[in-house]
Amino acid sequence: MEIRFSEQERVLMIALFGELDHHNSITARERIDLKLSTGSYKKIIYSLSGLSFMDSSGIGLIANGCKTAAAIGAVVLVYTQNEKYLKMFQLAKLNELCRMIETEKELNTLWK
Amino acid sequence: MEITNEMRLMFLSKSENESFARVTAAAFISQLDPTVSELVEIKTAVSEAVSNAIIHGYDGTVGIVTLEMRLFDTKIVEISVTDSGKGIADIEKAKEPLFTTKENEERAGMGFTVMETFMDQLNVESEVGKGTRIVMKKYLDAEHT
Ligand SMILES: Nc1ncnc2c1ncn2[C@@H]1O[C@H](COP(=O)(O)OP(=O)(O)OP(=O)(O)O)[C@@H](O)[C@H]1O
Ligand SMILES: [Mg+2]
Repeated sequence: MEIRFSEQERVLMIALFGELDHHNSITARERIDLKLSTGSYKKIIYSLSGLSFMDSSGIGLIANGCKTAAAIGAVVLVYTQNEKYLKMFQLAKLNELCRMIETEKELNTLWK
Repeated sequence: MEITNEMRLMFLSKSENESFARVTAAAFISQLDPTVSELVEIKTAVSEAVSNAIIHGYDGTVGIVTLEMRLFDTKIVEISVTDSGKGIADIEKAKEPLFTTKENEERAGMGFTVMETFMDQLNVESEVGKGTRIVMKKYLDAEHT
């Protein structure tokens, strides 16, 4: 899988591409943790629109990102329109740790 | 209810095989003409069960994971994932949402909940020191063509 980071002011966009499973989540987590430790961000946006597969490893990855973000005082937002992913996040009550963005319109108010 | 097709796949407990297993499952099931939604749910459930066998069952050691699938004439698919790993002491506890024994490895404890949600039936047999067998069933939408 591929991870693309981009920044605007103090907002970090983490765009994930490909398949997010247990195998791929190990290196993804390391790369994301490293990135988060090097900048001072106020917002972190995970974009999942490039993913072609995600299982519960995605929940673990984002929940971990939320914990790291809380430690540096940043908020986490997750952008996806995939109803299966949203279902899994809802089951895990992930919306208590971060905010779900379900429309492109809402994403555009946060990211130019 | 008659079996129309059957398969068995055995592979090493390497995380590289997680995608191999779910892609194979999806390819085998395609002969039942599933919807895209059904296919995604089955791939996800297989990924959860196979990952569990590798992460928890064998826990870093090398063993064999077996994926079996049976298709029935009534558009039912039965999938089982078996390992000869360490087994589960308390199955009911393990199935609870957010319960994990690998918190420090960032597991969410959501695998069983996802399998239960995306499949129509989930059955877990396990014996400590012997291994675990997960049997899942899904009734595919008969209406759609
Ligand atoms: N095949 C197995 N062998 C031994 N223990 C298992 C097996 N499958 C599951 N378990 C136990 O059941 C617990 C719950 O499994 P579940 O898949 O729901 O969550 P998880 O694997 O810990 O996290 P996630 O699936 O969200 O990454 C595991 O933490 C583990 O203790
Ligand atoms: Mg699991």
